[in-house]
Amino acid sequence: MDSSKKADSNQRQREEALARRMGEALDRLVTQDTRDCLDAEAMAAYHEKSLDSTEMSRCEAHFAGCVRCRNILAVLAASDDTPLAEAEVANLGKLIAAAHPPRDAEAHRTAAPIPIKSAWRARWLAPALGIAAVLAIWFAAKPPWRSQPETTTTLIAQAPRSEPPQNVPSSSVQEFSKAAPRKKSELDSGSLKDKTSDRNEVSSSGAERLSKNRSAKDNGAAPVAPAAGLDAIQNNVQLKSAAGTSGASNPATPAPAPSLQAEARRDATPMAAPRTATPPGVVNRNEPAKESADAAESNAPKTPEQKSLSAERPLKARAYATLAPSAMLAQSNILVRAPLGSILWRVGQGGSIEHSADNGGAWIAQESPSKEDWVAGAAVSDKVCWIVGRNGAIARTTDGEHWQKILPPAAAGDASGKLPDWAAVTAGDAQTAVITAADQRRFSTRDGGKTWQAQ
Amino acid sequence: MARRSALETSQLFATQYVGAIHAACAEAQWERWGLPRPCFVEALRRSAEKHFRGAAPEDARIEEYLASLHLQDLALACACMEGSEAAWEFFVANFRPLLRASAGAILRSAGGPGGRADELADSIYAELYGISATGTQKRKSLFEYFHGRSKLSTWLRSVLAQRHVDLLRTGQRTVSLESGEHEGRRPAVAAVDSAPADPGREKYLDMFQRALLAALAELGARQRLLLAQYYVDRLTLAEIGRVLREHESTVSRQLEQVRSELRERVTRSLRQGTPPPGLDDAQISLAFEYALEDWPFDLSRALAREETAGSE
Repeated sequence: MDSSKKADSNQRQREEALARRMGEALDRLVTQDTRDCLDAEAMAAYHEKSLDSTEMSRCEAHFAGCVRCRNILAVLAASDDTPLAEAEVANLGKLIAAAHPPRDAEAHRTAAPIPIKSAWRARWLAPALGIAAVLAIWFAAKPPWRSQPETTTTLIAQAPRSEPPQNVPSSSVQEFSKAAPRKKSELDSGSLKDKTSDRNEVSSSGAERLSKNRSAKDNGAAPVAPAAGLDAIQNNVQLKSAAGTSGASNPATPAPAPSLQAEARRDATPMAAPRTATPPGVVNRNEPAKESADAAESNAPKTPEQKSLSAERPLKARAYATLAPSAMLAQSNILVRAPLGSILWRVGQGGSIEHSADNGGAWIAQESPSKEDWVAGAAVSDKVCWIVGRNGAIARTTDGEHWQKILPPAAAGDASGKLPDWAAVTAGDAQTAVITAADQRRFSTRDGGKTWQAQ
Repeated sequence: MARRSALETSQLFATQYVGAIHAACAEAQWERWGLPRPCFVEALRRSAEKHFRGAAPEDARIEEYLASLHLQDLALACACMEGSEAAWEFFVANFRPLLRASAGAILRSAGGPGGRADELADSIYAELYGISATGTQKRKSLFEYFHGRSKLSTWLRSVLAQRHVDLLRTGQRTVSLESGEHEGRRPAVAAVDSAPADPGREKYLDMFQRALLAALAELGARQRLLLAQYYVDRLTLAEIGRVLREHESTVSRQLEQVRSELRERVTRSLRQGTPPPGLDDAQISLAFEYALEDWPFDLSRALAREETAGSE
């Protein structure tokens, strides 16, 4: 007992001695790396963890010896903390700024400076009045009690083994950091509509489907064995096409009502098939007609009126789009479940990617390599997952955390260079995948997306 | 060599990487800002050139790099740099609130009231728009330094953070001659040690210092960064976690591992001796004990040494 106490004390003493001398020793270790400080962009990329491991290590070697950069990094991290009041003000400010030309507002500000005391009052009062007016107009235009509840869909990529997530955390914090130029679909998704009810519907409908799926599984359905090989995937895709899903997988054509039994059967197929995710048009789409209309709209050539409307959008339409939630753009999330364990990814509009390691109990936002809407995904393991989306967006993670954008097949673009919306992806491993476009063209890769072959 | 030249000239770049540029343009939506396509392609080229400076990467790596960029943000920055009114209006409407909120958080983190957040946030607007030394010169916008490697919002926050830290450091230099870097740390040179000196003490401390330096040099960059943040910057585990975007408990565990590794390396080094012979267990304990005391600065001995040197 005494000897152990003595050892502990000895160890503590050594710890303290090292701690005492660490500062001076680190100062002496200033190497060549520390001479040139990193630029703001490298700092930002490091902060976002978007650098590769070599660059991360180089940055850290510099930070270890550079007090200035460490301070900047700490301040950058501190600027993540935006208190609620500030965030509210920021969002309100966004609406007001979108409703009024910002330059006029700026001219106003410079022309007539407001006394400091009344300044903060005005800062609160003006946005508050603005938002009240906006809400009043919105309620008058589309009262929630009169309109049909918007059906949201949660697409289940694979047959789950347990209950889906019931609590969906708000993505408003993430939304705040994504103040980058957005597309029409993203603008609409950030609307003021009551998302709580939508989420409840997502959860309940998802749970219902899942419980049915599970019961189908319990009745003798064998789990799908993960396969490794493009041929297996292709077989599976062909099998699905032969089973009559080809028409349904095209969002541009009305899909039949989702068949849960068919879904369960697919999961129970004894053939060694990879985990697959089906596109919005194929599985569990509650409103196929709505989706087809959406896809049709995105694919169809625009009339001059539509063109002029979209041309006006980037500036002032931001607020209008926010205030008038479009029925065509129902919010949808896709759950992609890893074959083993309780790893889930939730991907969806605006390129959002969230990860759950506890079967949907807690969700952590992950850095998305694209702002396009994700429409389908396939998880091969707890670490490897492929997702595809609109406008040719493809991404893959091989470590379960960091997503890498994959270049789409060059041959997939049309004459004007527009890339297709992907509708489905099937994956065998980190290198092998088959993607299907909304127009049913298929491309496969055996080298992790470096090259693609048309099927 | 051919690859390097492809990155160095716009025309070659545009012809060599047609596919990747096409995909990038499709995602970037540069048309919405009325930005000419060649301008955006040039921005892509500059970004790749900066990233691969001095290297001759494979075509696939360049294509992968182009695809990894935040293209919509790059297009917006590029359009602002070119003076597109639509882009500026969008930027002001969408990024100003974010900048102000970030500036407020930065000032509060420094213990300030956050009241001057607008001032800090707005201070970079002139530079973002671009300033020219003379009226005839083309203005140089701060956006020129944005290459799409991070989100535009994070880059703006990073610029703000740099400004803030540089301002603080300038202020500290004005107030005191001492660099803020050593603030709060125990002085390397402490008071005169009045205790009777062990003849071997200096040797032990010298060995300890060399062993510690060698052990630190052998650590990885991440491990050294952790130690610097904890022991030099005096950040808490939570603060380190926030900076490194790790959980506090993860930081704690990593730090514990580094400390343990460092202790073992120093002990091993002392035992082996550089140069040999090394120390035995009792002597190692003594070396750690001396290191725990104030740094060995025996003024009388130092003076005596100087005097001797002077007389010689």
